[in-house]
Amino acid sequence: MRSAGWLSLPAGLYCLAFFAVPLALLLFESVSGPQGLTGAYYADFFGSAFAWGVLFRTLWLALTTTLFCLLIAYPAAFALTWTRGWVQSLLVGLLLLPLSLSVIVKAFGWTVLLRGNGLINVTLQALHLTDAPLRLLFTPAGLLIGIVNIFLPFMVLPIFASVGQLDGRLTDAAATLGGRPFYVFRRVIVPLTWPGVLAGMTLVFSLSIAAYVIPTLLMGDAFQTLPTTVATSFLYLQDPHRGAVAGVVLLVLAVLAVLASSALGRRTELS
Amino acid sequence: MSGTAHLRIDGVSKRFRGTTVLDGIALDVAQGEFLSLLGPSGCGKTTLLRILAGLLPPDAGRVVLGGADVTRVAPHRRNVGVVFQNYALFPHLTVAENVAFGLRARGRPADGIPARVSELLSMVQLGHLAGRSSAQLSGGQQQRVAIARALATGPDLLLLDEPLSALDRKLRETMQVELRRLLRQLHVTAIFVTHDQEEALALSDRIAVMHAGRIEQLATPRAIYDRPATPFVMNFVGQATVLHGMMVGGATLRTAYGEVEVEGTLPPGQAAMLAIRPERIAAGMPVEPGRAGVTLPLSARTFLGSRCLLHGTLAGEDRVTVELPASAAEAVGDDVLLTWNVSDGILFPVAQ
Repeated sequence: MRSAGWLSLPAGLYCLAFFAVPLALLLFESVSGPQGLTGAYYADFFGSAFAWGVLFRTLWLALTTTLFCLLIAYPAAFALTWTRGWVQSLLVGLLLLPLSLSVIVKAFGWTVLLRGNGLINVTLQALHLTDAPLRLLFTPAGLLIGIVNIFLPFMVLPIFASVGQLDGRLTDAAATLGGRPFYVFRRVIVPLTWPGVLAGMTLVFSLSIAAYVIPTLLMGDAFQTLPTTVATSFLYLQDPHRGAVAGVVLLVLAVLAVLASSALGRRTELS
Repeated sequence: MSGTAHLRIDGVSKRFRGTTVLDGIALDVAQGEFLSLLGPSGCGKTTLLRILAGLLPPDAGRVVLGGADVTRVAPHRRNVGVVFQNYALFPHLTVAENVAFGLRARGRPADGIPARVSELLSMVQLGHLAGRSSAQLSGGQQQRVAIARALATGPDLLLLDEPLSALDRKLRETMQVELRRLLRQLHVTAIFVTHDQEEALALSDRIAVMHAGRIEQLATPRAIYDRPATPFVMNFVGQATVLHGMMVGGATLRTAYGEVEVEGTLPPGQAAMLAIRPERIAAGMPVEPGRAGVTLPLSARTFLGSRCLLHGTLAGEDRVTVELPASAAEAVGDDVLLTWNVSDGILFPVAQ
């Protein structure tokens, strides 16, 4: 299909000029020392306890965010599917509306809500659930509350789409074949909604592994992840090599996540 | 026969948003019987099927299966197999896994499952497709897998919801024969939902003709066709010549086309409707004792191969349909004396 090839030319050129070339420069930066090519920057990076802490925090944040988003979004997608008419339109609208808002605005919003005299603490104290303000801002709990909220639509929407395609007769058939409700859930509902779950997990994992604004605003500079390390290396420490190494590591993790997701998707297609 | 019924449906009713879908359905089905629920869409037959499967609770009435009241028993605790209208095969499973689903769900010993699955697949002649994804099958193959899957656990009752309606005519006829043979062989009690009267007549031991949430008639196919209990059954099953008129004397109906002799016990002055099945009518023969006759206009023909249908346009709700051997139909002109055995006439009173 020659014509199809030509049609992708503008997109291909754009990606080459503004994505592939900068990435190549980044990669080059991470291995070019004063005497030519070197692996010294990688050795330095992986040799420091600080870097392992960064890696651990980055993966912890991405995995926990993905897990909590999944736990909240999976039942929510069913609830959304079972509503009808204007109620459903309203709920989908409420889900989509925050996407039109900048992530900086949303993260700042959460700092206001989470702080000592913020709405959450005021409410908790008014209900006499707590005596003193809880420390939420600049804690992992506060970070998770904020980041899960901000990335939740990216988990709900793909799962909602796959739940919508679920044929009710299949669960009826499974029940008449003797499947207890949990058996039907495990053997029919989960496998058939798996593509949506996988898409949602890939999206949220990729977004949260690369999150910069949210951890910075909700946790501050003490909580360094790969994206914040890239930024501080380039902006404050003037250490482009370390920044480049962190950037490449982040890229490798993201690519691995996408590859794992598509491998999992293929495996379910075959089985 | 209260003690012998394998399945007893006792006064089952169901309403949806103020509409009565099932109105006091009562029905006994014997072990090994093949019963059809026949009716137009919206008559409640699929609702009744879902109630029998446990997928829908009735508002009133009881379902007794094998002596046990299962009215409130969840579908997975009943042993009722269902073949759904569009088969509802699990698209993420292979043919063999679909058939094994019920065995696994019911916790049958794992080492016996492969043998049982291959036994069922060879029974529906699909042994060679065991490893195929169910999404890759043709309609007829999907149908067989659905039947094998429903039969795998040896159900007490098999429910079939228009399982043949998605197949083309030729395949449908083959599958009818095969299904009948299979169910006879296994001696499975089966309830077959259909709107196709030919299918019901061909397959069933008995037919329950349903209309507006009630059973209009429950009888053998032969009795349903020959002696329909109501005008609805007569119209829904098969074709007929229909003449309206008024009873004059005990055994004569005055129609717009003349007086005809009828069998029946309607009083004089009663409005009535006479129906005669098309193949019971002879054309161009004299009226003999024991036979009734009337001259009717025939204006159209439908050639069916060995047989030929002759139709005419009559006034009001009257209509004429005659089925003759194709050779005899050639000789028939426009206005023809049609005769039939008086005992073949089916007489219904009509509200005035």
